[in-house]
Amino acid sequence: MRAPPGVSSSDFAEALRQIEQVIGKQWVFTSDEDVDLYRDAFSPFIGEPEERVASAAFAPDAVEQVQAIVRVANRYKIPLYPISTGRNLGYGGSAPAYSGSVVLDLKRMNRILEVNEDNASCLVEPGVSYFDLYRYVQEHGLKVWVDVPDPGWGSLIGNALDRGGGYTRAQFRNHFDAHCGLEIVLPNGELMRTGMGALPGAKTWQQYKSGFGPWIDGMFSQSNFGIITKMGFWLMPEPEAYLSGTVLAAKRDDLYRLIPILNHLENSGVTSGMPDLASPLLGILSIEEYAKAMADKPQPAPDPQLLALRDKAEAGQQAELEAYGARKGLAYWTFKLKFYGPANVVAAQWAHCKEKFGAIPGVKFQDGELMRLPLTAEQRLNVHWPEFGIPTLNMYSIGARSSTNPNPTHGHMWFSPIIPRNAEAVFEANRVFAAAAREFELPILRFSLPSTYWERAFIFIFGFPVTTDVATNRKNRATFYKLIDLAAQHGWGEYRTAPAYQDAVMNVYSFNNHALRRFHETVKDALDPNGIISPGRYGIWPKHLRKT
Amino acid sequence: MLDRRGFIEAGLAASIAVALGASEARRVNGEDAAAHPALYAAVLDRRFPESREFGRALERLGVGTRVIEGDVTKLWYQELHRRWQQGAAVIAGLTTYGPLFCLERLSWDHRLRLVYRGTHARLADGRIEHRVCGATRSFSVVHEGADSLARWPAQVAEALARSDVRDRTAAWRAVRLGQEDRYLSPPLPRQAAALSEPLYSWLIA
Repeated sequence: MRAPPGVSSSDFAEALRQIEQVIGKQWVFTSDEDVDLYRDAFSPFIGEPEERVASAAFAPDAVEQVQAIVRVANRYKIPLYPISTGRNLGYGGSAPAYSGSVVLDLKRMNRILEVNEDNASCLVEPGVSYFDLYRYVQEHGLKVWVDVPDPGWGSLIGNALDRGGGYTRAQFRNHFDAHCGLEIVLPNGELMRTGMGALPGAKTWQQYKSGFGPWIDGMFSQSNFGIITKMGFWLMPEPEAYLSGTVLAAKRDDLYRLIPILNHLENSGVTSGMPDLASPLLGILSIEEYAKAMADKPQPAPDPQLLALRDKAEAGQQAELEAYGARKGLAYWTFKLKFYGPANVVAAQWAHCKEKFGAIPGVKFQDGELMRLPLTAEQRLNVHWPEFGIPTLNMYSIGARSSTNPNPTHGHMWFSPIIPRNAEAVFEANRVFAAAAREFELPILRFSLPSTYWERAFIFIFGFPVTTDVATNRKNRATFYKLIDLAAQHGWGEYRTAPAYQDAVMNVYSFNNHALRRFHETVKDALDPNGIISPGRYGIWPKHLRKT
Repeated sequence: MLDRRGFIEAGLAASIAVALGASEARRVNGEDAAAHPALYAAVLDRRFPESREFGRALERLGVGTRVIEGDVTKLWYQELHRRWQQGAAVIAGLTTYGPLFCLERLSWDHRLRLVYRGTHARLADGRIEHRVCGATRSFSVVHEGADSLARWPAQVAEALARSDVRDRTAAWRAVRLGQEDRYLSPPLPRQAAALSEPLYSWLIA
């Protein structure tokens, strides 16, 4: 049995004994077989001493138990690392940010406390997964949708607190923004509720977000100021219909006009589904095309002439590629817009979008199928489920395509900087990251389009392999750090990252001598003087672990 | 460095276990029913002839099969989740890595573990390499010569059906350690172009 760093074996043994009294011996995990399950499946430190691992795990099933555990942890200065379902793969998984912490596994706290169809809201505990809530809604015949990430096996609370996103309407895609009300066990073991939950007897906890006074909910996302034990979410009323429509533009420079029009339409609420940006000429598939391509047999190789023209276009000579597209009927850019709502309304919204995009010379349109909801079984076969609030594990059906691979990937890490929502930034980011790929000897980075999870900003999401080769992982980590700095030099910062990189990313948010980090540390010292809750998470270290 | 879509395409390949303590799996004796828990179901991927053959072999042994095409969503959501909530149910499979990755992690919520894993990949010379670890290292009993694994999907199925999981911890540790036995077999007859990607045999108990 390993004690956490800074905790004596005798103190840890006594703490375990006290916690066994609270939650039951069977829910205190100290054996290798049990604790090993909390390793990060995608750790970039596999096989190295720096891999962050837990010393033990506790699995309470009630708020009062969490409070009692926190009090014991304070008494013996035991660092805890709360997780919900522990499936934040690509961003750290279930392993603690501070190696040797005890994982506080909240998966047993999996009650769906309320789903209110009239209010289109729910209140859940941390262990409730998207699949759990979806099943509940289906079994009770409720006319609400859950906005789900892809894959959908994670926790609503875990995903929202890490500021993850989904695929339906904008107001629900940003999972943290879609929340309404928190219950928190503070580092001193006290229970607090935010928003209208702070007013005993209020029936508006999942209706009015900010309550009274400073709205502090955001401080509990991507942080370590407390343990969330309940969270409310606004859900999407099941729409009557879904319509998609695609804008096709022939020229590279059309992007300079396409994006401002898209922004205006989104900001005006005319289109609220997740825009799907693609490029047939550059071989960038839409979300649906990609899912179909992966599910089917391997696709035929592209025309060699097209590949050569792509290379030229990436060097700034796009005229021949555009001419090829004109001959073959391939667009340079496609913007697939999505609409949810009454059939006549979505039709009018798409018509308005066509009018606006029609200002771009040569642009064409493809009308998608108007689908009445819920989907039929046949329709389900041909759509990307998360866009319809249906969780799936389908992305894991994509297997390795080579039968021999001396260094098989063991997972991935996401590098995900936020860039401005304009064409200039898209081209600049591609230029900068392509140059970086050459300089850092990474696989060639073809032109990429950003993801559109969020309104108002783009994200570039790149995958870094995690392998079983220590030298390769070290090299990839070093490159990841360089990319963090490179992106920051251009004003692009990550929106989320794994614990391995959280210090480095926090370090680039450095305005006024790192005023933001110093603010976080001030709050941390006040709320959690013993530094027991997730030390190091998102670069927030308690005083006794802070590097000078 | 690949964008998100391209990266997922590059995929989730074999996961080689990290070092932990090792323990030799016990040899199968075929007589202790408790050592050989009944298989609740075998998962096969209809896209791969080897997997279909694996499923047929288990069906001949009276084991029910569940068919996927790489995606375990329906199987887990509609059946396994409920079944595992009722109690432990042992499952086996011959699939690509993604389904194994998902089902292994989902099984942890129900205190189940991956107690056997085999990796079956085609080498450049066309032979099939089998690397196995865990409860069915008894695979070795069927390896009696160059042609002895000529019908390896069925042989794997038969070995899984009589796996010894009395010492589940030891079996799990052997998998985590990745101490593998390695065997080679010729390409399957009439299927020289088969095994287009590595397949994984597995047992969750």
